[in-house]
Amino acid sequence: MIFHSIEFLIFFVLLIAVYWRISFKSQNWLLLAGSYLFYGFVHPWFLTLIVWSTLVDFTCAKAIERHSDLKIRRRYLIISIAGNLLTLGIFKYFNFFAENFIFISNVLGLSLDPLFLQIVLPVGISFYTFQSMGYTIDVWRKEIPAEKNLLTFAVYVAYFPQLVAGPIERAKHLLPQFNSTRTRKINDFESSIMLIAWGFFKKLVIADNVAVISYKLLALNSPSFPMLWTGVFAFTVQILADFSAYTDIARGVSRLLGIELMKNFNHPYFATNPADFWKRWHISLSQWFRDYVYIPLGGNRTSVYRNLMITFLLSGFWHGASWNFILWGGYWGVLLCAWHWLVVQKVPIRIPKPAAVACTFFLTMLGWMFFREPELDRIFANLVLSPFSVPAGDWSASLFLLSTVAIYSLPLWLHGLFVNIIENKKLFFRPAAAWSVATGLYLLILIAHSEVSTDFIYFQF
Amino acid sequence: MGYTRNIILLLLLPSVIRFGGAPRAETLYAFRSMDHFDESPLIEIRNQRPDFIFIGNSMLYSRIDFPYLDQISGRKNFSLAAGGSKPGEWFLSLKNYALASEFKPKRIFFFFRDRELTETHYKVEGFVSRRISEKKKGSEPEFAALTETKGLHFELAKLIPAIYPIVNLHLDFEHAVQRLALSVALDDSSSPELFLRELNSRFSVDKMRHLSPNNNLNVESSKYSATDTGETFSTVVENSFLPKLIDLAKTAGVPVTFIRVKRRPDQTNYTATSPETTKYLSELSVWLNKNGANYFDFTDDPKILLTMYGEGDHLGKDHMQWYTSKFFEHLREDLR
Repeated sequence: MIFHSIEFLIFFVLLIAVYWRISFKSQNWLLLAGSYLFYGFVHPWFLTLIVWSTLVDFTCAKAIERHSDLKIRRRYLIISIAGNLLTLGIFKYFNFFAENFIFISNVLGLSLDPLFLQIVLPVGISFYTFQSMGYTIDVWRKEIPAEKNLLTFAVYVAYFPQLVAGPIERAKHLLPQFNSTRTRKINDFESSIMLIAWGFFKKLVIADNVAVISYKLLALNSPSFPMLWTGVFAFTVQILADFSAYTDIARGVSRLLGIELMKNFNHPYFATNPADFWKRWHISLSQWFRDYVYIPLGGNRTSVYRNLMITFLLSGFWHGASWNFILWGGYWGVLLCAWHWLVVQKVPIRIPKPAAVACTFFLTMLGWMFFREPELDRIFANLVLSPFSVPAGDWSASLFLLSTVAIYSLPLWLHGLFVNIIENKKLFFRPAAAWSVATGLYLLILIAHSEVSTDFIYFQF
Repeated sequence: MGYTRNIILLLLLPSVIRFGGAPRAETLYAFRSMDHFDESPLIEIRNQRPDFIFIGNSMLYSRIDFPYLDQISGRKNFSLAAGGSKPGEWFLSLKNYALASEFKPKRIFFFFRDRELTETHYKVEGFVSRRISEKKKGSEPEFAALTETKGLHFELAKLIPAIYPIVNLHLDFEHAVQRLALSVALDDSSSPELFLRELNSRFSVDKMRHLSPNNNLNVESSKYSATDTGETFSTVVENSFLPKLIDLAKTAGVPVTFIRVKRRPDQTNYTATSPETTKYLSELSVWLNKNGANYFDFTDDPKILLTMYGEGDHLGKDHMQWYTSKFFEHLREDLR
């Protein structure tokens, strides 16, 4: 089920009509039933995986807490991690490994019959397995107690607003909310409506309109320099608008249920350096990798450059079973290493903030080109495209398309520029202002939505 | 109660904004060739006087290399393929282009997938509606009668502009964005219409690439396979465009051939067809022959391999000439 569908609207209206009239324990049952319905709506068999993940981690966490023997505790931790990684390995990465194994075999002169799995990638598998694994690791570290109630834990894993595209929540933040009575705080409703309206606006007006341009330009057989980079810019806008829209809708919907989800984006394209970017982009994932990969490897205490590269290569691989995602992750690893070196060496970097933002934005855009292009040879061909041998008319065509993207994305940039006024001064959290803005966004969606709507990009991860 | 009232007000507010009105008149659409008949394909047919005309969607233009077909057949072949088009659009192409001039081709070929020929309501509105409106001459009552959509979902979709006339401002908004972008990109002496036409031609299918099969291991053929509907051919044919296509061609004295393409096969180069669709196609074949139309099915051709495919059911560009020569080989009699 997707947020921008009649089915979800009916589902959510019915759910919330009942939700606030029942006890909090019944609310958990309702959330679990609703979450399973939400997730299994198109492919019911997906539910077997999420139930499997839930049962494995619930059992392992309780066992980890129950035993004091380190070996036994570690055994259950390994079972939990292996169980989750095995699920990911089969459904997401099997064909990638098979394909590369065959390639290597062919290079070595061994002729092998290809074996590929023809299975659909379960939506959200990368998100809920990581969220569930994080819980078990936190119990192992004794940062949180193991959850005693299977219902509560099952809701934590399957909670529908963040199930398919995050944010990847931490148990210490989310589990207590499912264990306590929900209350409706002042301004919750207005801020929820604002978030939802803004999320739908970003998705249906900005992302979907810009997607048409990015798709066409990046599907050209032989794009010229300006056409390619206009397409990359369009994709840069699209992916932020699309992904952050999902999070905003998820947070707004969840807030209406009295559950607070973490913020996942903080205007990443206004970052001033690579490290700053990763504090603003997909915050939940970067924090997960920091806490469960980077720091256990040694963080910046030992072999910091190795740790950064491993962390970002794995982060790239998390995004997809394809070499371009690994390349993208490696690219960011190199950037973070370079930035770390500059900081450690105390190299004075005195450039005006707008220039720093522009440089970081350009580096980000370059990374998105790797992310978006599945064929490695084309990535390298794109990098060596000359801006001097451009067919007649391509510059003006690119300028037209670039201007179109800029017009549609203008609200995104304005929101980032005036974020202090919008969010920190809580101006639009006043009911009258919030309702006015929500109404305005709603009218704009009716007028300006794209006729071609697509799935959220991060559903494929 | 306050929240409920606010939600209701929010939902009702756009309905009181009536200045959206009906869809705007033609004159406002200075940069779009919509709401008036586009006769350029008709002019081309009159000029070229092709021996054979082909109608279909991307299944056609990702398979047949027309210049190459001209070369090997020694005949002139003309394509009226439109990406994403379905029988509704094919009906208009046949009526208003292929058979509309005083010149008549020797035969018309239709390329289709599985049950496409009897899909009536699919892709007659939404993003193809502009293209369809350019193919219409007047009100097209036959087209309207068949595409009069039914069912709760369609009734709701029709209801939205009725309740919220403001949605009719959608095209005006798009126009405004387009005008603004054009003002940045063009100088005063350039023609926006020419610029936009030329821009569209930059994205014609021969300029678009197909992703190699290895990058689409998860784009399994089942995603595009015909969905069993529980309906048999005989229950759907009379309410489809198929009889209209046959009647138009018969009236013009032009024979037709229907080509079923092979959908993306599996790793063994086999394309599975469900028992229901097999039965449907068997009935289709009988019906076509009974109505004087030829039918050819490429599905069981073992020489069409998975490695030849690009994205989904599209053939890769590198294999179009091979496929075209196969097509000529099998349909030689029809291409006389």
